Amino acid sequence: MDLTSVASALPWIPLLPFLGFLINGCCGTRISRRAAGWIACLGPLGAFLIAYLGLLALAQEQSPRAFLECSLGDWISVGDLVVRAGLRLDRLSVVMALVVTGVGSLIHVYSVGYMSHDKGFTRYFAYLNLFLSMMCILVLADNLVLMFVGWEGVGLCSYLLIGFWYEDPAKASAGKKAFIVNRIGDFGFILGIFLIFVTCGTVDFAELFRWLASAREGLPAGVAFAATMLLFLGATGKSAQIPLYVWLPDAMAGPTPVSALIHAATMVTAGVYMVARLSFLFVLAPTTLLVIAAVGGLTALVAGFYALTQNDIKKVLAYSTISQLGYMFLGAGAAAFGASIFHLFTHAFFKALLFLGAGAVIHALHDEQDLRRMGGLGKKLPLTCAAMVVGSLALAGIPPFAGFFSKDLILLSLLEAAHRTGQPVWYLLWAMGLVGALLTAFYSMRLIAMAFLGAPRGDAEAHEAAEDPPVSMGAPLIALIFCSALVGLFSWPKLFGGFERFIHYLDWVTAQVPAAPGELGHGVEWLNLCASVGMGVAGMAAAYFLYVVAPARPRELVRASPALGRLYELSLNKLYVDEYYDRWIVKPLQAAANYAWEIFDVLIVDGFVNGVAAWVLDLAASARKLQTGVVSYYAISLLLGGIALLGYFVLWV
Amino acid sequence: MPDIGSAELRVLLPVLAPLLGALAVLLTDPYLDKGRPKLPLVYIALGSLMAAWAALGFLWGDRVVAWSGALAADRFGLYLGFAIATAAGLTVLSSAGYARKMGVDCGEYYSLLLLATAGMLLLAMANDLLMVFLGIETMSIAVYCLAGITRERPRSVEAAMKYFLLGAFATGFLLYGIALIYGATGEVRLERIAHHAANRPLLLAGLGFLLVGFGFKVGAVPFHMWAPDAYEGAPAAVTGFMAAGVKAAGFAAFLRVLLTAFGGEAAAAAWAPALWMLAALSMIVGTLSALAQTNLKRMLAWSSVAHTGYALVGVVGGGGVAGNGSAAVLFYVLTYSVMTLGPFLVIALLSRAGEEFEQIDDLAGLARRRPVAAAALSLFLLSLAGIPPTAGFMGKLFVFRAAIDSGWLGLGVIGILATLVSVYYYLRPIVLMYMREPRAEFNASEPTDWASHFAIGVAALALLLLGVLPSDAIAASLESVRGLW
Amino acid sequence: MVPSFWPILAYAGFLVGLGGAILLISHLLGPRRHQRAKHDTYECGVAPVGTARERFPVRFYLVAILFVLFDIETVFLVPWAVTYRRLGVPGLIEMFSFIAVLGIGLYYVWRRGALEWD
Repeated sequence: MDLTSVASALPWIPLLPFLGFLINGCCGTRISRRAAGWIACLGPLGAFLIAYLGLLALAQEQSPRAFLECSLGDWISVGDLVVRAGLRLDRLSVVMALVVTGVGSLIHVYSVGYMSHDKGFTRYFAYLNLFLSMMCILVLADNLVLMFVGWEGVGLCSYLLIGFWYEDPAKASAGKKAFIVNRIGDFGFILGIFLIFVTCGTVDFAELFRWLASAREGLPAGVAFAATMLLFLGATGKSAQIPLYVWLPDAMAGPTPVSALIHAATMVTAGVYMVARLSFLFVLAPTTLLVIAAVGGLTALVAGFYALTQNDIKKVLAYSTISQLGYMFLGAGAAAFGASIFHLFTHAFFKALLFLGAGAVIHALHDEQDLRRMGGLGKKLPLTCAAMVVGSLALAGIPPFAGFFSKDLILLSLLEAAHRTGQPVWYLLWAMGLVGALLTAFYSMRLIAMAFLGAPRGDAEAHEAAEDPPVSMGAPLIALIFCSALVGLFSWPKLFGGFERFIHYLDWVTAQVPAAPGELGHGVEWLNLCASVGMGVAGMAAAYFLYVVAPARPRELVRASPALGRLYELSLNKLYVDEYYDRWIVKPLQAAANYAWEIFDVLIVDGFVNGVAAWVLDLAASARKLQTGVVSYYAISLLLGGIALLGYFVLWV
Repeated sequence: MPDIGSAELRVLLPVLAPLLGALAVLLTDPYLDKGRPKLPLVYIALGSLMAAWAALGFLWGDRVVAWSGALAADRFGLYLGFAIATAAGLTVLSSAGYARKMGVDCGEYYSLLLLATAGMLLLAMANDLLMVFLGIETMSIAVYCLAGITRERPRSVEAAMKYFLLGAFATGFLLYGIALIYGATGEVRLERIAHHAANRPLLLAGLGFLLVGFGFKVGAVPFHMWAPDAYEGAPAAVTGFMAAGVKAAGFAAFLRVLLTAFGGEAAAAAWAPALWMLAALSMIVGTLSALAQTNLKRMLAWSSVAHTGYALVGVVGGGGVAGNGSAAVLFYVLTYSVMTLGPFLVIALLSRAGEEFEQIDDLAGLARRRPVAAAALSLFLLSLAGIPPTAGFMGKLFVFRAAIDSGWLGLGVIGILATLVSVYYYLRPIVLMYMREPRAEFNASEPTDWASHFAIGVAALALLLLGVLPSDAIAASLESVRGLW
Repeated sequence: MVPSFWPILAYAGFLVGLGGAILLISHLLGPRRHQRAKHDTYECGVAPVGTARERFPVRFYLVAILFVLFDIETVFLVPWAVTYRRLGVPGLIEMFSFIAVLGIGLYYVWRRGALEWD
């Protein structure tokens, strides 16, 4: 099969969902819901097929660095200022594109059932399609500016979809919070782009790569550090890392499939993707890498800690997402970009599965999200329960589910980094990762226990009426169950005689740091494996004991030990970070803004601006007086001007 | 006796088309009923302008010089020729309804429009000073008459009178300049003048007089005084045509004379400081005066003075053939001619029988009553203010960049400051249109003037296109300047 | 080249200065006696009757302008007639186009009734 023409079909990957957006957005009121649903699902499916053809085309290429390219032409070319736009499908972006369109298609199908009774049905799908289109642009962009276009586009769609039920002020303001917090990150991102453009004179990934490879003295270390830190600031905003993670839990105000698609599987991983895409730049700044790993480790730990006590089923998953994104940055920080992307890949499936499962629960209980009012749903919702259990096992890193392989690789990469750099800090990060794994397993099991096991605690009538979702929602769940269980096999560990195919697939498109002399040794690998699985099993067992075997124990424990109670409070209130932000950032900013408005704006700026404006208007009035309307004056002006010109030319020159 | 071969006729085609159109209008008009709309005249005018367009497109290519070197059909002239023919076409479309409202739906109106267009095209292709003069006069006399064509309105007559008197005065300067240059060199052909050393006072004095004449035509300070009165008094469609066509043609000839006859380094060093002054004065005076206006047409007149300044920035920063400045001017004038014509088309559309719609305050609440007109007017004003993604932004970017690149930093700074101030008076009408309650009655009851709407739509679309995908137009402007030799 | 122009410039300056000086001096020194007779249209002669700003029918101007227009254009026929043989057929064509344009103008003016006296 001739696949050379796939390159020219690349624009259709973002275009197909965009067409869906146009159709549903423009004539949504005039077509039936059925048609709107079909249109919305066909775009992503088509995009997935093209991406799949791209994968096949790449497989035919000899070189692992091969890529498909489709130039969208020069946008502007004036002098030496040339802005090109193009799409580029290489091994890294094809993985992302497949995840985005694949998981995206499943979630679209699921949404048809989930949103079937909503009055904003077509509006919802228009936004969702637009999101997918923007996400594809972000993924396929061949330069930073186009990537930024997609980056902003997904941010916009995220804002629109979080505030989808905008009649509820809390939900609308959650959207605003997401938008504003992301702006801070975007500010860093765009400064990073400027810095790169000013230094290297290009924003094109390939040219940047060539520039870095060929520049005689290379990138100054300071610039590399500053640029990568700025870019990473952008990543912390989009991927909800410390300190900018606060928007993601609030973002759960949107419809649950949106949380699954945007706030778990795809958009929030854009930061990780960006770091991997620019890995050749990030490896030039080892300090930044350490910062990334530290931020990732801390986020993984802290968010896992928050998730322990949350009672809203979606909040648990939200903090879990933040925590897992922390793992991805841990891997990226350890320069194991392949492992990081692999975790992104597996996480997309099992977290989408968990969210969709949670959505099915919420749907079955008619918008009940509080775990304390659930329980005993396992028998009523067998499919949903199976989905949640598989998702949780994958999340907790229990072999052979997907999460195990990727998390294990990331933890191993930390040990390798410690070995390579000789810095003991990596061992600390490894330990943080392990503790995070323990927390992850604990809250996963807690969620299962509270929702599906034990006795029903909520409304008995609602419990009776609860049933598994219809086919349109069930089918994507089943598909995701299989994926979550199996995609880990793409990277069968070396330890078991595997080849880690996925990781090596990405070898040539992500930067490699030179390996340290000597292997880590199988002993260390086994240690890592056992520790991570042990943590997972221990966490799950503890949660099972505390929430199923002896449900009264948590309360007793808290009562017996005030320190534990305090810890519980801290976790429940998320270390009071939101309050701190409010107290130390939002309030002072408001106060400062008020102050600035009163003193600076009213007195100085207004005074100055009004003064200048008044002065200019005065000038204008005098200028206007020159225009008397008398022709002779006009003629004299002409004459004087002529004399002045003549004088200049004859006497001066 | 020149051999009137096919080359001579071919070069003349763009001028002949509107000329014959004008004659056809005169022959047709007497046979038309007095009371009925004179659509056949509109068709003839449009047809001849399309023919001119086609002729321009047909000539687009290598430089052809004919009529003993008096006329040159090269990309340089044709580039702005397209702008001129387009502006004339849009004016005719808008006039179909407007001229009737103003009671000037007659043969003179259309034939004068076409004659002026012929003069402009001649001017754009003129390759010797006599042809420049001929073009300017053909254009100007027709435009003087057009300015006063609504002779029932005293202000229209006043505008025509002032424009004519001062125009005649300026023409005197121009002619004297031509005479001095001829006296100094014995040449009227532009490229031959270039062979003479530029440092002779007589030649430089001639250049000074030429600058007065051209400065008047393009409305540069201090030769701009006619502009506000003439723009305000002339009927809106004519004003738009004046602002777009006269300026485009004026700049075409101005730039060609400067680049061809006085393009040498010594000569350029002599005129650059003088034009620097004109550009700075035009930007400052134009911008400041526009601030205080309450009449939309007058405000646009001052804005056109300021825009002359911006274009002159590109002339000063031209950097000769190699630099991008001259190409930037071409592109700027092209975009400017569209974006200045636009608001006048809207004014013409909104005007009621015998009464111009011209007070800025009357715009209040327009968006509610006439959403399409308000949106289009907003777009034109945003483009005039130079806000992306409109063509105005690209034009300004290109011009200022060229000036700064060739070391005229001060001029670039003045231009950017003037642009900033100008945002105030461009945005005020938009604020009024969208955020105020309607005050005036808009003629919503009249049948929709489709031709006018179409013209406005074309202008708006062109602005967006030139703003978002300017590459082709910019590339063509660069080629045009290179093709001058 | 430059020196040869100085006398002219000096002469021009002198003339402007002289003219200005005469006007200025007469303005400064001249006695001003305002009398009725001083303000008459003609200081000596017949006393004017009525206003000088008589309104003429606009047709006077119209006809006068049309006359001047066509009169001057006709003058162009003379050089053509003188070189008639040398210009040959192309000249003939050119001249006839010229006359045709004029003719169309005349025709239009006629049809529009500009030549009617009433």
